[in-house]
Amino acid sequence: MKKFFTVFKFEYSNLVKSRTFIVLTLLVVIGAGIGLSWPRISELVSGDKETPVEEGMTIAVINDSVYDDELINSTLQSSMPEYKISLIEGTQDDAREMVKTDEYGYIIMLKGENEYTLVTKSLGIDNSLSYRLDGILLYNYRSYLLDNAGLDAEQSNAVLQAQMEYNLVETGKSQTNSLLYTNMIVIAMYMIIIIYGQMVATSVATEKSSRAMEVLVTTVDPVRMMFGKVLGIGTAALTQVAVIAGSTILFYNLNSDYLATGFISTLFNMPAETIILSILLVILGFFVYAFLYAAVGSLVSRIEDVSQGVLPITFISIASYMIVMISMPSGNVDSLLMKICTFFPLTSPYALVARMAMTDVGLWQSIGAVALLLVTCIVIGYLAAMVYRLGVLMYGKPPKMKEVFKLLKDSRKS
Amino acid sequence: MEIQINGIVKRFGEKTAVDNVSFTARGGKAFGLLGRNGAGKTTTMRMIMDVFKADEGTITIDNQKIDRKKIRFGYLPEERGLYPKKKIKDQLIYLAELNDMSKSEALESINHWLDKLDMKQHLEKKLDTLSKGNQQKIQLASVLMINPDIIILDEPFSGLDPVNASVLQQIVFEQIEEGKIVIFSSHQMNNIEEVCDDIIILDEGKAALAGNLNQIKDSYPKTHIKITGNGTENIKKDVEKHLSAFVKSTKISELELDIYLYTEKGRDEILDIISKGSYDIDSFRVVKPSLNEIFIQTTKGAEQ
Repeated sequence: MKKFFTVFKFEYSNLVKSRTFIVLTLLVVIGAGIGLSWPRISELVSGDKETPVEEGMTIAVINDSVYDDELINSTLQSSMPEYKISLIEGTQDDAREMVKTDEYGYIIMLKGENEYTLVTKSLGIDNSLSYRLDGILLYNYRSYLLDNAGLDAEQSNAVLQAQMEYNLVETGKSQTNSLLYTNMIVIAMYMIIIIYGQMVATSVATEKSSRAMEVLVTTVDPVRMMFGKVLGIGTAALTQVAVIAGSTILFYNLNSDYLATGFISTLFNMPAETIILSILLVILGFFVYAFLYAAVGSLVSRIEDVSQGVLPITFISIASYMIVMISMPSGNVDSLLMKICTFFPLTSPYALVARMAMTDVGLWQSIGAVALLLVTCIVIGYLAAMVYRLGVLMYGKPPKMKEVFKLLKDSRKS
Repeated sequence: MEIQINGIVKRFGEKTAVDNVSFTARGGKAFGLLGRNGAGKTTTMRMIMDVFKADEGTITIDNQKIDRKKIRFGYLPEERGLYPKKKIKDQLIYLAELNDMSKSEALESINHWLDKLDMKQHLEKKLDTLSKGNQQKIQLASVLMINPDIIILDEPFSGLDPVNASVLQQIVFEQIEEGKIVIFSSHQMNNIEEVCDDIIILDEGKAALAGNLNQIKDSYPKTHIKITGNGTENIKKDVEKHLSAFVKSTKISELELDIYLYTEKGRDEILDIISKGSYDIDSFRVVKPSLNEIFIQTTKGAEQ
């Protein structure tokens, strides 16, 4: 047990003290700090909360509609104060030309009662302008129709501004809220598994290729060595996550006044049970994969072979990540595929995290699922240890899967 | 203190890597574990250090089961290597801690050995910034710093320049003086011959030859005679003329004459010729076979 801790301590402190680890952690912390303080910083810099009028963002209007110029101008200007509205004359070809030569950013051509053409270079992906125009002009058109139907201004306003009162009671989990943080958890899990899992494989392969292993095996039992290494690296990963999470929460609390209404706040209002379960699942998920990575690392003789050796594991990890990521936005995380993934050892960490955070799996099912993952983790750890024991002193061409199983069978006989 | 290896067998699948090998290595003496590549030397050493369990046979120290908490092994593997990218100090402390040393004990011992090997200035450096020879010294320090009871050196001289080789030899002698068990493995015979008292030669997993080196040499037929002096030319002529029934071959160079006999018979006859004639000679001696010759004979003979 003492030797296990010696290995654990060595692996942990090596990683935590490494420059890459420190720099990477700091960068993420600084990034989170700036990101979460941004609303506050930008307010300090600009002095007021209003967004300034974007330069060149004049909207020209060619009015061939039934409405008079005055009405159109005042309606648009009052609804879109950040733009400058200017009425011009011309045909569609003129409009194209003016947009092309950057005279105007946008030109709206109004026709008849309810038809308009928006001329611009490119609307972009995120441009809400056309939606807003739709709204404004439709409101205008409806009020025109109501007016024609004989309603006075007050009546028609009442009709137009009438709204439904909306109350929501969700008995299950709010997927709109949980989607974001589940996304974060799955991404974090994926990154931890890929980055630190591969680190386990590389670390084992380094000991083998540098032949430090030859000396190590004479003093430590390979199995203890493997568990010490995996736990050491895993704890280092956990340390990093804890530092990042801790500083992020700190930054959030410092800036909470500016962030309370945004979607970011949902991230920091995760239910406690989700947090605890997620941590548990991320840890178990990491170990399941890390043991596999360690086994692969023990089978290759050279560092160059690591990336090829870990490919199948990395591929499974990517595939399960993709399945979960694609299933989540649809909200259908209880589909048959997801259910199968919940019980398949290598996909279950991802699938479980998503399902537990987004739907009500129930206490007993949760416990059952975690227990199953724990058993999986132990079984894979045991198998990996057996492979590791064989692999660490085996040099030459990395063996095929079939050969590994044969070796395992032979070694159990003797 | 002595370590007894008793009929150990190790099989890997179909292949028997070590087949019923027995020997005893005593404290205060160096033991040579010899054999060609793949003869089973490394497997034997790994079994001694409990990396592999022997399928059959026992390994004991003073007839007791080896207690790894009390007995420390210092091992210099043939394929040298520690962590190339880690600080020498850090990895040496790690290896010492794995041998149940405390950090302060480890540091003290590390300083002692690096000082002795003239490597102290490299303590804070990364291993791969050192020259190959210096890396070997660091590895040697890692073996000795734990104050091992049993030192196992696999091809310790390979890759060392003559100065470092003699440093190593000196240190090994010191360790033997202290009464430690030193097991050498090598296929370079000249170094072994100078250091080791007892040897075993493995061939394809089996013990082809074992025992005290001097006794082994004595047991070989004395068929090589060396004569030096000015009259060797004439002796060669006369011996070839009168004793062709006994003499297999002769070789002459400068003032040295080597005569190789078929059997031990013929030595007295040669002496007879020399004493009767009036040749000018400085010395006449029977040459014992070198370990190298014994090794080649033993391992080749078994192959055929």
